[in-house]
Amino acid sequence: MWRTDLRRARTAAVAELRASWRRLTGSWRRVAGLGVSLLMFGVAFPVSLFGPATGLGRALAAGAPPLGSLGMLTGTVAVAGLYLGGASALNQNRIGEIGALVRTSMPPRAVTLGRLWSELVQTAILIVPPLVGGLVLVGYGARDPVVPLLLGVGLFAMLLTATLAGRAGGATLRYVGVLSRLGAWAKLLLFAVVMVLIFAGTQMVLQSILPDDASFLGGFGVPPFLPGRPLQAYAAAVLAPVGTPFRPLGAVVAVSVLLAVPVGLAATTRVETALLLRDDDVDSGESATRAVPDPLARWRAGRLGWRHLIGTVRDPKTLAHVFPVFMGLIPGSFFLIVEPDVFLTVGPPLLVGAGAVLAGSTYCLNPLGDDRDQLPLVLTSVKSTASLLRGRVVAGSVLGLGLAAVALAVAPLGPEPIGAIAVAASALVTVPAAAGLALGIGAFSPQFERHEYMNVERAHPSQLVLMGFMFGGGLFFGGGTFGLWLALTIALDGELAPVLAAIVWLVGLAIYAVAGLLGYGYAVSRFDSMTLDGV
Amino acid sequence: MPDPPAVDAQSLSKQYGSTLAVDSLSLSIGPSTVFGFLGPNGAGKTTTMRMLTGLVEPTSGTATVAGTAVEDRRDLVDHVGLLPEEPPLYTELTGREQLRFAAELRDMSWDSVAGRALEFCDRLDLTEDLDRRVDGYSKGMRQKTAFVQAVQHDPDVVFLDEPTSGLDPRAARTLRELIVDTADGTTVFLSTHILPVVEEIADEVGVLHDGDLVATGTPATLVDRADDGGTETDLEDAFLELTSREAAWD
Repeated sequence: MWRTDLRRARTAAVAELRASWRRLTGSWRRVAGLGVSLLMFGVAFPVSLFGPATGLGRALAAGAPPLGSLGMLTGTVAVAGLYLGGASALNQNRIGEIGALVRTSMPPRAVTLGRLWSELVQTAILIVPPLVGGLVLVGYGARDPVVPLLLGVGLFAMLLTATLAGRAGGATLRYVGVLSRLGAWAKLLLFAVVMVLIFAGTQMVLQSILPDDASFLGGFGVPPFLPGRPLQAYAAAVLAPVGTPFRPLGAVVAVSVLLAVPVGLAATTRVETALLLRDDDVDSGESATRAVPDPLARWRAGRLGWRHLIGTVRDPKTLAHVFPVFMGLIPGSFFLIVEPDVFLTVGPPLLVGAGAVLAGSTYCLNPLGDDRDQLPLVLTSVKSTASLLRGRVVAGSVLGLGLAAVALAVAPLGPEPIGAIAVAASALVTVPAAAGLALGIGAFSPQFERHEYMNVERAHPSQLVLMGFMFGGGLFFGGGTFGLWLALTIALDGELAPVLAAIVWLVGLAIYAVAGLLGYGYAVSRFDSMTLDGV
Repeated sequence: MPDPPAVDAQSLSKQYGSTLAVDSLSLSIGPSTVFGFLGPNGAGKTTTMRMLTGLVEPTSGTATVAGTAVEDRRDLVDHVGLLPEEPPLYTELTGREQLRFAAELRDMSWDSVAGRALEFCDRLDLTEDLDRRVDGYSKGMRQKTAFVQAVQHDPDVVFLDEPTSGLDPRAARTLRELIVDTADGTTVFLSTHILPVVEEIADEVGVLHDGDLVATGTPATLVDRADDGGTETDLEDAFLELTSREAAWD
């Protein structure tokens, strides 16, 4: 039975890998993106890691293993494996499309094994080359091939275990989600809580490896069973043949790692096979027709923009492309929570900056691209796409101004209330301006092709556009708002003439307004001349 | 003086790379006509409809719809309605929200179209489901919603691509009746493979084959021309003959 399943799994895996390869090479954008990544990685990796890796090799060869670094390295590999395994388990939408064919063509266990096989290979392609590169550098430093060989065996074993553990964990999370019949927002909330816990846990572990001041949660204390010692002991056990002091704890960890491979494989196979046989299509429940609320109903862009907002309320996956960025803000949020005084001081400008970025990134980075299926309706209905695009600005601004409202509420509590209130008020310009600029950036490279990202299959904004806006626009609006706040604060302290501060403030707002209008204007001209020929 | 044609195309062509999807198509369709547009898969029907609705640009030739050049999309949208093969619906909206949104796209108030839209929904047994989200609709319900959306603003010309696709026999019959009713003032450009539908409701028929318009006329004319005097002939026989021998009759 297993042999038959494995044979079929191999067929499915090869087909999936071939399809993935064709998807990659079938788009010049993806090939170019890969080329740029490889180029950057190929240069940055050896340069940045040369010193530490060769140094590690030298230390190992000299019989003075830096156990802290080894623990860190092992931990990094484990975290990478956990992340990739977990992410691959959660990103399983594509199976929905071919599910009917697959389910009626081969046994479920063979399907599971085939997908696992193909995704492990893809994970390996992603992570093994840099690992091997690093080991070569370690070997170069050690002048002894045995050192990198032993280290490699230990790290690959940890990688495989962690990937399978991540996969099993991700699959279990999905299974729990299916069983619980939770709505999309509840799942999102749960996901956010898990992310916060992971962040906090990571900080606690890091605290045991790094100096205290390198951790945000330095004062929280770490349970004795969570230090990095087991990882260090594992690394020491792996390197025992070259003279690293052996500890029994290392043997326990090594045996656990080895045992975890079959256990993880069995658990993953079982849970994912069970998932294959269940229908996880959960209705969010929100279904009644809703009229456009009054403030938005008063003008056309508001009525058109309402569609985006109600769409997000009913299915938060429409904003999947924004989640990673806002998850990335968790560390900063932690810092602000731990230090409420700092929050009251810098919170307003940060919130206004985040509001601007949110307004631009939510509905404006792939204008009309995410309307691909509805373009025949849209293009045969509107005289100009301007009102549609303004609708996106309105929808994004509603979210962005929500953060600005929090800033306004917090502003009077801080040490410089007037400056903070002025910055919060500037959101009335910066937030829609950010959305306008985002429209222009998105119009430069709209994506009409659906692809899977963050477990959501839709026409997401291009990564280039997303990163360009998040970093460029984020710096422009976030950094700029902070600069405005700083200028106002200095002025209000009496170190700058208030008139000059007001001029700085107004000029800053004017620059934002012009940038927003330019972006919006470009998007309108681009889409008013668009036909399905360009899609 | 005769009414100007609702659809007028002269030497309309569309080329994709080395593929000539539509080759020098010329046709004229009068007002308030149901025009059945037939052709095998890949004949160029969808491309023709896309050119006539301004969704793609012709490589050469000219066309007007309700007297408006198809390149002039700004004015064209006032005259056309479109039901493409895949219903263009926002699945996160309810059916009623979708119809309102479609009216809003045309800068029309819901009140101005609601009477007509709701009457069509009623006849298509869609009223009870209008406050449910489209993502819970069956294929047939989506098709009905997209049909109402295409005609609720009372366009001069409505382009329907396989409108009865996915409908049960009762709904398909109702839709045929609605198409006939719609043609009282609106020209219906109907692309379908279901030949009995065309035979039943079309005033005129055009047959497209490999990008060429190989025949036009009333269904009866086409059937007569295909009649070899032996067994009884219908539009299906005429279609098969036309698209196999590639003869240009007109």
